[in-house]
Amino acid sequence: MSTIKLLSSDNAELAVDKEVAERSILIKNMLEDVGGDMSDQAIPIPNVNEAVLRKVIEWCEHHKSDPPPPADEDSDSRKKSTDIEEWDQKFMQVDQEMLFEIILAANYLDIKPLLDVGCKTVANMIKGKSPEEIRKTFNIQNDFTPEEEDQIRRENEWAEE
Amino acid sequence: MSKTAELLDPDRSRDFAITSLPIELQIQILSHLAFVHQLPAANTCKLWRHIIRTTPSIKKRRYIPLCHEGSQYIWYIHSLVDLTYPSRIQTTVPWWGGDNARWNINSISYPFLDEPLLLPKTLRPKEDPKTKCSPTLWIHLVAHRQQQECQQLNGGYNLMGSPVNATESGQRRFTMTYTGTGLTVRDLARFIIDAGGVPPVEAPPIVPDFDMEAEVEVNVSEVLGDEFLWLHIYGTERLWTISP
Repeated sequence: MSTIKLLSSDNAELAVDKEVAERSILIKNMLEDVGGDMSDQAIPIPNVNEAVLRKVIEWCEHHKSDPPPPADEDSDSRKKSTDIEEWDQKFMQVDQEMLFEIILAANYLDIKPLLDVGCKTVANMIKGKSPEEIRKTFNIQNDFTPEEEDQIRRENEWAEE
Repeated sequence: MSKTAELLDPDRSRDFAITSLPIELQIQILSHLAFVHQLPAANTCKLWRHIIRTTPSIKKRRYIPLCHEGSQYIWYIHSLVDLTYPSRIQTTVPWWGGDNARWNINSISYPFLDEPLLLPKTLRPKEDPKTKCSPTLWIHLVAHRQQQECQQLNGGYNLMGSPVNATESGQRRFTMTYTGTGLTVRDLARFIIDAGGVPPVEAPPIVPDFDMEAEVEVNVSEVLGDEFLWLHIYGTERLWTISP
């Protein structure tokens, strides 16, 4: 099996099985463009640092033989569920910065299933929380004007009891 | 310094907020939220409020498919009329409230009440042959009172015993015509309130959490022959449930 090298933003060189690296559509397309053989030269991944890249590779390694995701962009079944398989849940037990880094990297590297898992993980952290708890969890600034706050209060009077 | 490196900087990371992710990623995250979780998220900040109110893929999640067995049609109906969402419309608006009820409905400013009752055509799944809805939907409303454990609620007025039959409870049918996607959830609520102005038998005092039940019959016979969909609307903090 052929191996390729990836170069992280902080100049770490990581050797990865080609098959594993090709979970990233970005890398897959890149390799196709250059005609396959990149064994002598590291592929620069300028948006992702070593720690995150290692994490992403770990995920790709585990999921290397997954069937390709459904092509249907509009597929509701994909969006509806926030169920995450056990291994992925454990994998996503990282601090928030790392979680967002993984999401950003998955987006950049075009690894859709990983991006989905990341987004679902964050969505699960939003679920069941009050607006104030959500703000605290994610460090969100409450930027509503007093008028808007008033309106929100009115809108929710009937729902709170 | 790359964005990543910037974010990993310990001084920066404390300031890092989810709202600094690219908008399309925030949309992706929020589109995983079911309707019940959308409202709290929409009340956290301006950006999320805007995203949750206006993004089609997120709006779509506020609708649930409603398909009568054997029917060739699916109606996507707003989750406020859903079996899983604890609808509070009845709490705010007592069924038998008459003028009082009309006043109450005006005080509701729930953010999603002004959305279409049925999923707009443009948001329906494209490939689904069952989504070709007829433009006309008749909603009949049949009200009858449930007589459970009302004694302690309304100060001695005893409704315990055998079910109040349809005539006694003043069963009436109301018809409302729905054309296109113009009908909003608020229209339905208002319609129910107006219909609920029926004077109750022996005029028991209005008790907000009076346990009662109404049935909204969504009669699509015009389109589907004699098929019906039933929406059971319970009082107080019960659910609106839908059963074939």
